[in-house]
Amino acid sequence: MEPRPCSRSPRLAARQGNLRSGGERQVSMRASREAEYTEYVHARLSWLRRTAYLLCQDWQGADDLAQKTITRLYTHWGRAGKAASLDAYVRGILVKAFLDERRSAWARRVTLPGDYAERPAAGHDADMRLDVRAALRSLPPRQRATVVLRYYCDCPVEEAAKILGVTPGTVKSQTAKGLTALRLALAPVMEA
Amino acid sequence: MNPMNEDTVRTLLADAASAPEPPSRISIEGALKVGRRRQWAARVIASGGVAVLVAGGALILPHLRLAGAPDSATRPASGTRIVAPVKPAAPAPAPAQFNPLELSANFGWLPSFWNSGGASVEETPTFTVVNLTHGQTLKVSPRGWYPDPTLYSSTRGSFPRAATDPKAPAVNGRPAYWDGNGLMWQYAPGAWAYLYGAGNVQSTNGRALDEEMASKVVFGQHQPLYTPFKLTHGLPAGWQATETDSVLTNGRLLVWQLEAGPAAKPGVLTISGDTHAGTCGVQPVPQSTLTVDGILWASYYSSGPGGDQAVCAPKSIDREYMTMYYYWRGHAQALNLASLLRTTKFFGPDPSGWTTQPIAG
Repeated sequence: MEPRPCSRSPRLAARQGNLRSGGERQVSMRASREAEYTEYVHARLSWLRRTAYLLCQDWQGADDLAQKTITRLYTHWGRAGKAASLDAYVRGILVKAFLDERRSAWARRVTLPGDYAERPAAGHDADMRLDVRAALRSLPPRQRATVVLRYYCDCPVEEAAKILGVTPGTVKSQTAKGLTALRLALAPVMEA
Repeated sequence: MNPMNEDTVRTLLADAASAPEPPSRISIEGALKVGRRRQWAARVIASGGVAVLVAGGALILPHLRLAGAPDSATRPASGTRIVAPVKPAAPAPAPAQFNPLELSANFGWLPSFWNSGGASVEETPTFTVVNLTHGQTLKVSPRGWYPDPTLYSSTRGSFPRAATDPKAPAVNGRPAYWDGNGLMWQYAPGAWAYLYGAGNVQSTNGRALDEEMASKVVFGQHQPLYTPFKLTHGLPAGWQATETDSVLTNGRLLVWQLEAGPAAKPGVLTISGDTHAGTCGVQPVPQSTLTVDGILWASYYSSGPGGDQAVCAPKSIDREYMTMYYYWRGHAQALNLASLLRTTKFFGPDPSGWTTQPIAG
């Protein structure tokens, strides 16, 4: 299983430190900066994509979200390098992009033309993985993001609160609601 | 006894995430290209190019601006000065609390290159946040509160770091401070607003852009939000709307989620529109069902202490699934969900038919 990194790699941090004190000329600085960025994204892409997949529940959406995240990361690379944890910073970008997208996406769907086809339900899938995905998909976006942050990314309550821009109390209540919904959804499968 | 604990959830999520990956469409090179272009735009601001762009065209969020907004809010700034001269005026007093069913404050002006893109808004009685797609964010609190720079909430009192944060030039004659990433200012006596994600506060021109934007923010316009349903019999006594979340779509702010409850438990009831198919996303079968005006509603209860109740329509309502979450069993009787469903009117998928008064009474 892919490890779930929760802090910046020491090697990368050391390289960033060296680069900052190196005094390279602007062009080579940009090249170094981009090399650093590319190295980081390459190393974390699978993790990023899988986290996006848990949030979006489809690979196409996950790829779009991950693409948006790494683009935003590039433009904020300087700020990201100063973050205490680069992975936490990236997680924040990812989750915010996901929530923003869900908000606007819903409104777009409201105005769908008349030929809108309903998607089939996943209720008859017996496979546990499908059941878990369906249960996750059932959570409202903010709750889903909270559950993924807390139980997939292993973020502490405070960090999740910071990423989501809410209070720790809200994270706790959203987590409780999310867990309750997951239990409701998965209880029969678990018992079986 | 439900066997699923937190560790089980961790295992299940890890397993779900370890599904076989299809080929990736993610392009690091693409991110570099787009990122470089955005950085170029950012450098234009930092180098003073903003003055030209601002003079060349500005004003933004026409859809968010009321017809009655003052000309000064829409007029491009001078081409030679980024910050137009500000004439101190007696500000209108800020309300003691906002109405979550209206937009309380809004950007009045943005430079032209931010003109595209969407906006989302969160409104509560003590907090308004307008968030633009590209990250520019305006947070506003009513009188007696100040917005938290890092959270989506307000804190009671006067901005405490006014004593220590660097002073910024007064905004419309009122005190302002640079707070790390943005500009905090008192827009009316005892009421604060915070702007971030716009100009780079480390650069002179970035700060000037923030000052310009802050000086043009409009307050007290009471712009309506449009909701796809109406509670025709209102809410239980002592309850009120406590939060709305909306997105800007085709010039209107469309509410996708409304929360209500008593003051002590403001988020007891959440009503949100969603498009999950088939099972309302809650499996496998509801504890009970209820048919109201031909719509089948499914009801689910959690088994834990202080359990939640969720009610949703397994069939689409005008091609849209309306999901109503009820989070506090202790108030189930006070609310009477069946009655609430029976008295909820849905307006269908066309926002032109939506209401600006979703709660009767």
